[in-house]
Amino acid sequence: MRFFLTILIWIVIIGGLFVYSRQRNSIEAGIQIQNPATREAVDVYALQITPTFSIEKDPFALQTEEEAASGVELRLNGASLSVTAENLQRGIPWKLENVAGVVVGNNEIYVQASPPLFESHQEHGVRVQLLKSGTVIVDRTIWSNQGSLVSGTIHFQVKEEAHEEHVH
Amino acid sequence: MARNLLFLLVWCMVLVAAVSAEAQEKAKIKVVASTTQIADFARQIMGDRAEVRSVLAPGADPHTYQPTPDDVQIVLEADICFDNGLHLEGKNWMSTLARDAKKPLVTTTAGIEPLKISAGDQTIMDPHAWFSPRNVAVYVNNITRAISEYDPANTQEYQARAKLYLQQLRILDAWVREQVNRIPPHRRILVTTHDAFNYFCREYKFNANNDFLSIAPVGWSTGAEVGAGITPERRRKVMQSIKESGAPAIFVETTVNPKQIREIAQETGVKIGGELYSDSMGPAGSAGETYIGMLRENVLLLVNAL
Repeated sequence: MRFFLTILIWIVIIGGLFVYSRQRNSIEAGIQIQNPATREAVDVYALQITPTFSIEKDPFALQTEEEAASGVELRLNGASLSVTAENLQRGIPWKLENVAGVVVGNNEIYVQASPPLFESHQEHGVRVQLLKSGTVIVDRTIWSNQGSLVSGTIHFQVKEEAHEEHVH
Repeated sequence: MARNLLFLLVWCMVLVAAVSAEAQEKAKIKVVASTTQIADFARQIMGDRAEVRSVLAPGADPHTYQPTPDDVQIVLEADICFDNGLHLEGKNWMSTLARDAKKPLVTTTAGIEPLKISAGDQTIMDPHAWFSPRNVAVYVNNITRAISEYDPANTQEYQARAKLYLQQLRILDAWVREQVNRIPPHRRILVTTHDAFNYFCREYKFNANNDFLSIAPVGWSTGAEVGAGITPERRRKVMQSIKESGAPAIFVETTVNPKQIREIAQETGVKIGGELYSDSMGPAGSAGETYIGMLRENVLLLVNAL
């Protein structure tokens, strides 16, 4: 009787440890990310960027292969758009035509740009305009001060029926 | 019977707790840095993923430090080691510790363009590179790269922390410029115990009459290396600089004996402006226990005294 009881207790111990380690692993593995289906908007969009400064290579950038400290980053719904520091000059609008990736529903434009360090006493801004068939539908300016990067996210919505946009 | 059952259950709980604690301990990477500054940078990047220790205690002098048996032990337990390099660690004590323990060592100043200082017929590379936040960005990049190679599964996390810290450094740099700008250029005279502030002087335009380099009676190292220590010539030059520039205050350092600078203050009649953090950060709980805090406190001290 004592022998069987000992075996039973050992099974409980080993089983408990097994369940515990499985649970730990499943927590560490993280939650499965659901990718809801999105539908690309049919209209033709263009993006116009106007900085109040000339972009400088950021000496405080993380030097990874993907982000080569170019001083400017532009993303639409998480996907990078092609822009270089040379494209963006103080006060001169730079236009990116046929922007792909605008979807029906919620959209995000993320901008990050590095103003010159020697102008850290000034406020700096980047004006972001989204145009649909030549008409400005989103017009926002992102500001920074005290030497920080100009960085921010602009949210806008494209409605399914009339493809009407709303800025948040 | 019931007692046996109770005993086994308690034993079972102890076993589970031990396994859990051991698993958590194992998950942490053991990092050893030579200086308190590098340990701080590593903590900012690795967060709770690592247990970061510094060989030097707050207030210790890296130039003259002699490693102890305890230091040998912590390096033996390390997974990865970081040093400053450029001969900051006198007689390269950190690389000796890492080599003897057969541990990987990463030199965090790699890629920095060092300031070259003439010392007689020789040229010394100034190791105090952390006094420019721009250089600290290089330290941070080197540490991020090294730890990402060691633990690639968590690269994204290390990079995310590094990005946040780099932005803090960028804002710190702008803040220092704004604060220093309150001191009129002709009053931006920085006289300290030893030549630790060359990068700071170059970056923020102190000591225009000395090619924007540090003015100090003791050389780049407090040890006995070439171009280090105190000489009567250096002492005379410092006293002359103070008289010519009209420096309103001179400063002692947390890691170096203040005797020399106090004597100079007495002889020239200038006040002691306060104690600057130099080769090491402040103790836990002090305002200078982090790099950002250390630089902030130094700058506020300078602005108030000058």
